[in-house]
Order: sequence, then C-alpha cells, then structure tokens
Amino acid sequence: MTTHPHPPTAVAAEELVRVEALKKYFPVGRGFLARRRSFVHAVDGISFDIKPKETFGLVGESGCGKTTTGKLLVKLLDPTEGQIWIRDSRRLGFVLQQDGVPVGALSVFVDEKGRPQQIAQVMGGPGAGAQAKAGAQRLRRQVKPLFTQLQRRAQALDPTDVAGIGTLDVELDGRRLSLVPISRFLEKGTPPPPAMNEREKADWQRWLEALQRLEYTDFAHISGPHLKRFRREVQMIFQDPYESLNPRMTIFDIVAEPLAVQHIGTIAERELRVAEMLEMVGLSPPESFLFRYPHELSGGQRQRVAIARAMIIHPTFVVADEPTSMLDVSIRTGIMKLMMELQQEFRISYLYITHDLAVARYMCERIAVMYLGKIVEMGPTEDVIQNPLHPYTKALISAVPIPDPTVKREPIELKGDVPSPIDPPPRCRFLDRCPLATERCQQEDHPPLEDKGGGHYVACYEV
Amino acid sequence: MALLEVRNLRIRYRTKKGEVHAVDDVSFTLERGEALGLVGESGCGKTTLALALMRLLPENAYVLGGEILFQGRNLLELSEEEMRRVRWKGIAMVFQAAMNSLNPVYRVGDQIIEAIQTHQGDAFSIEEARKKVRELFELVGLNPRRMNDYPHEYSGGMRQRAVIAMALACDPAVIIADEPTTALDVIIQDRILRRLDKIRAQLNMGVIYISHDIAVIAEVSHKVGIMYAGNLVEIGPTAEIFQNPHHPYTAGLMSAFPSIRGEKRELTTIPGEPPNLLTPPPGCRFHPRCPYATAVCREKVPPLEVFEGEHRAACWHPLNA
Repeated sequence: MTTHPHPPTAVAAEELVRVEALKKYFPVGRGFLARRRSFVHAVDGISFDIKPKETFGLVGESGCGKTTTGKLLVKLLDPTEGQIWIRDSRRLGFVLQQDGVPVGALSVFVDEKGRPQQIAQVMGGPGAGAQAKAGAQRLRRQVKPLFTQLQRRAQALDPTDVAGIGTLDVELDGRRLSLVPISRFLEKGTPPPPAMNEREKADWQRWLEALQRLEYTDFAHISGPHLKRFRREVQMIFQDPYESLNPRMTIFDIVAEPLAVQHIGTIAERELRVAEMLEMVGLSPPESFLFRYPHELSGGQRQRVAIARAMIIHPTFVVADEPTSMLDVSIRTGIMKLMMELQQEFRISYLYITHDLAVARYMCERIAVMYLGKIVEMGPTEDVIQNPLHPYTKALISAVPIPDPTVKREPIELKGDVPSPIDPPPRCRFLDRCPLATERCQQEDHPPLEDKGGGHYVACYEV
Repeated sequence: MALLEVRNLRIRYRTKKGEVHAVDDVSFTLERGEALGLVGESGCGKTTLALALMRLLPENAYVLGGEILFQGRNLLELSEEEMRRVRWKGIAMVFQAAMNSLNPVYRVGDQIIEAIQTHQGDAFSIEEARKKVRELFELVGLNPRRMNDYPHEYSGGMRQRAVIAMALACDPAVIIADEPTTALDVIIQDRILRRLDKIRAQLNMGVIYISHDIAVIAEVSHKVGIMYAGNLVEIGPTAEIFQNPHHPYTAGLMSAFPSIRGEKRELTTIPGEPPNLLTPPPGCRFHPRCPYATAVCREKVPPLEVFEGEHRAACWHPLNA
C-alpha cells in the first residue's frame, strides 16, 4: 500500500487533480470456467497530485503502467480501485466560521464568470456528535439568506477582480460569522487545534477531507450527464497523429466536434472559434486548413489539429500521451513549445506521459517514475534527474544517451528484465533486479513513498 | 583503399506525380572498424541510401549516377548473381523494425540457419550451421538454449538481437543498422548498442548507423554525416560535428535536441518543413528554412567543402568557418 504523499494534516491548498490509491487490474483468464483468476497489475496503487497550470510527467519503460494511468485519468478505462479527484470549476466552497472556529461549510454552483447560481451542498462543522449534527441542520435552514448575501457580494464585484469573492462577513440569527473560501481557509494551514483529544483530531481530519469534496469531483465513479460535464474539463492528446484524426472528417469538423457534442455555440460561432484555435496552434491562415482532410497534412500539422481539438473547449486538464514521439526532431520542439504557450494562455495542467527523460526534463516541473504499476520515485524534475535516489531511477537515467560526445556516460547494469506484471508478490517490485536488495526487502511489502526532503519522494527501504 | 566508398550517388523514384529526387550527389567513405552515423529526419534519403548499398531498392527506384565501391569493386556494375554473393556476405543490413519481420511460424534458430545455408550454401552442413548459430547467439548476448523458441516467445530486445545475429551470420565486412533501437526501451537500447559496438571492435567491421536520434549517434559513431532533403550537408569526426557544426541545419538540429545533462536551456525550432522532393527548391535545398540564406543560396547548390581535416560541409555561409 502506498501511503499518500500528502498526509491529511498538510492538506494542499489547491490541487487541480488528485489521484488516490489508483489501481487497474486486467483479468488474465484461462477460459470462462477458470477456478482462480489471474490479473495483470497494470496500475497497482498509485497516488499523486497535479497543481493548476503545472506539467506533471509520468515516465517509465513500456509496461510500467503510464499509458494505462493516462487512460484512467480521461476515463477511457474505469479503475479497479481508487479515486481520481478533479477540481470542479463549477463549484466554489466556503467555510462558515464563528470567532475563528469552523461551524459548517457550503458550496455553490457558479457560472463561467464565477457568480453563484445556486446552493450545491451544505455540511456541518467538525465532529460526529449530536451538537455537530444540530449545527448542520441549523445551517441548512439558514442557508438561503447566506446565499443571497453571497450573490450580492459577487454582483458587486468588478469582473476583472482576480481575487474573486473572498472572505465575507455575514450576520445570521444575530450571530456574527464569516464565510471564508475553502482555498483561503486551507492556505493558512490546518493543524488540529491543540486542545483536541485523539478522537477529536480524527474527526477534524475527516472533516477536512469532506471539506475538500465540496470543490472536487471523484470522477472515477461518475457516468451519464456528469461524465459529459467532466469531458469539458479533461481532454487527451494521443501519440499517433495518423490514427487519432478521423480521415473522413474535415479539419473543421474534427476541431468543432467537441463544441458540437457539448452544444456550445451556433454553427457560425463555432466556425469563428475553430478558426481562432487553428490560428493559435500555428495553422495559418486557418481558412486554408478548415476544409482539408487529415491525409493532406503532415504529421506535425496533424498533431497541431489534435491539440486544437483538445483545447477548443478550454479544458483545465489535458493528458498528453507521448504527443511528440512520432514526429521528427525539428518538429517536436515546435509542438512542445506550442503546448507550453497554450498552458500559459488557458491555465491548463498537463499529465505528460513519456519514455523520453530528456523531453520530460524540458517539459515537466515534476515527474513520477513508474515501474511495474508502482511509482518508485517522484519529485521536482531536476531533482529526480540530477539526483536520483531509487536504484531503478539511477539505472534508467544512466542508460539515456547524451548528444554530447565529450561526456562519458557510466551505465548501471541491471540484471535480468522487467518481471511479469501478472499477480506479482506483494513485496518490492524491483527486488529481483535491485543491487541494494536486503532481507528486509524480501520480507516486507512494496515500500511506501517517503519524502526525503523538498518534495522528493522515494519508495525504497535502503535509501 | 577504403572498405566502402560512395561517390556522387544519385537516386530517383519514379512516381505518378513525377520523379522524387531522393538522394543527390552523396559521397562518403567507410573504413574497417569504423562506425559512421547517418543522421537525418524522415524523407532525407538515409534509408534509400542504405537500400542502394545493398541494391535492394524497390522497383520504381533507380540509380541516376555515381558509384558504390565495395572493396574496390563498383557494386552498381555487378550482375544480380554477383551482387547476391555480396549481399549478406559482404554487406549486411538490419532493417528498420526488423524485429517485427521475423517469420512468426519458424523457430528463431532455424531462420538464421536458413540465412546461413542460403548464402553460404554447400560450405555449411546443418550441424555446422547450428554451431554457427550458437556462436552468433553468444556474440549478440542471447542464450543459445533459446535457439528453438519462436519469435513471439522473445521480448522486443531479444528479437532485435536475433535480427542482428542474422545479419552477422555470413561474417560481413560491413553492417548497416537502420534505426536499430527505435521502439526499444532505453535500458535495452543501451545494452544493445554497447553490444553492437563491442562486436564491431571485435570483428573489425565497418558499421553504418542510421538514426534520427542524434544522442544515439553521438555515442556510437566515429564519424557523423548529416542528411537533409537527399543531400549530405555535413560530415566529419563526431566530436567536431557536435562541438563545431558548420551547416546551419546541423546547428539547428543540435539545439532542437533536449538532453538530460548540461544546462537546461531553451530549445530552438527550425521553422517550416522539409521540402517536397518532387520539385526540390533550386540551389541549396535548405535555403527556405535557413536564417542566413542569400541570393547565391537560392541559385547555386553549395559543394561539400573541406574545413578542418576530415570535416566537410556544404554551405555558402558556413558557421564558425
């Protein structure tokens, strides 16, 4: 079991995506009547988070589970276990405080401009006792006037006010309370008040986690209209520009499709938006591309179309699976730069999946190294690459060729090959090939990820 | 006399739309024990060149001019019968994605035995051929006990080693490896490249590595040739090409490549795309994308000129000249 890298006492203020204990097992049957089933542990309990406007890299060799993880995050696959939380841009949460003590919380649905439309959810303050329950009930009865005050404040805001609604002082039943946006509440740090006993501390943790749910959706378990809504937030760019575009559709149809599916805009509005998007991805003049077919375009141009299609509905999170590995080198950098520009423009986060560590170094602020379905190391890219701690990461990095003939590389020899992902024993997945393996590694389960400083996590008993 | 010398080679493809100028005026040499790396992007002509060396060009391709001198003989003047004796025994090739072209219904060992017997004929009995296969397996780092397995029982890396063994089966003097490790994971790639280099040194073979990956080329080649749009635009000792490129395309390619070592710097892009070789641009084929292009570049094809020692480049305005 991998412990979560962010134990609840240090809840991060704003994560865009949080993956918790994610697993994907594929059955390997020996026929319909097989007595006991075997499973490929493609993704075997991984947890990580991605911040807004961050590029998070997932690196590893074939079979490590990175592509499967990407598919899970866009719901091309459903997880076997685990949760995938994404910040729901439609919901805004607030903590209700009385004299600095939280007594409840609520969330509201907001429109594109951040204006509250209606109440989403209401919950009580921390604690499981009767008092907390009573507090929650009272809050539910009083929530309408609270909401009205929120709306009024939002209306009074200057639309260019980046800070948004902010903390609001309200009066309710003669009590003076304040509504604090959840992000601001969490920013200040959330250690349990010292006066609490153990049970109260546990209640506090649970309450904090519930608080987060007010603004996040667990999209591992959604379907139907929620899924459609989810597809506005999360999109994917695939590796093969020759296979990911429908050859029978024009470029316009391809890029406009997400708008059509989500019923956004009229035909005329869509044409305008598609033209703008094509311009933005460097396909200029857009008119000369709108009614061509994919086979008339080069690989690099096709990938730009794929990017335009992914970006047109302004997602907050894009999974990119080796988007440049099938392109020529001189074209690659153009695509990578385009992705970075769009990230700035639209405030997007990327999960960047690649086997190429040099590309990961260039594109990603943080990376996670996967091996046989597990994350073995994770942290700021430069740290992980220049100072790898896990023996697998060290071997991987030592094997990367360097385009500089004056540099002498010392490859680390690893015995054997990657073992089978079918029903692996619970111990460290790297045991058979590890130069550091000890008795302890034989006996214990796969090591949990631990922070070795500066957000650099390693899953190893011998580091 | 060089082991292999290519002189002013020109190759065209006949297509419905016209003739593709696939390789134009390419010249280079290869010595025994030397590793030459050919770098270029898709469409630059490197694979066409490799196929020409083996005289395995497709039906619609033809050699317009030039010579391919192997151990002093011009391969282009040989009959098909004579060429058959050169192929695999003189020059052998590991094709792109060859690991996917092993026959799935035959055992791996048997496929190599077939190659040996086809080309060495009566010289090898089955037993001798089998012994040779065992030796080859040891040479490429495969367990000889797996000779009787089928290709699907091998991993990608193992299949690639098997294909290399097949290419070595008739003791060629030259091996051409076209993208030998693309599609393999980096740890396996590293092992195979090091093994291939050891074999080269051990057998004193000439090796031509073809790749789009300049990092791989930097590590395994003594000499590097850069191809663009059918031309050889620069060639020289590896260290010099990387530290002191003279052709703007070479320099552009170097700075478009990210590395995990060294300072983390801004990557550059080369604007535009490689030209259509049905109607290549006049003069220097790189001029539409070159920031230094002037009138002469648009009119006259620059010749491959010597700079320092073995370092040559074809440019009217070479960098750091």
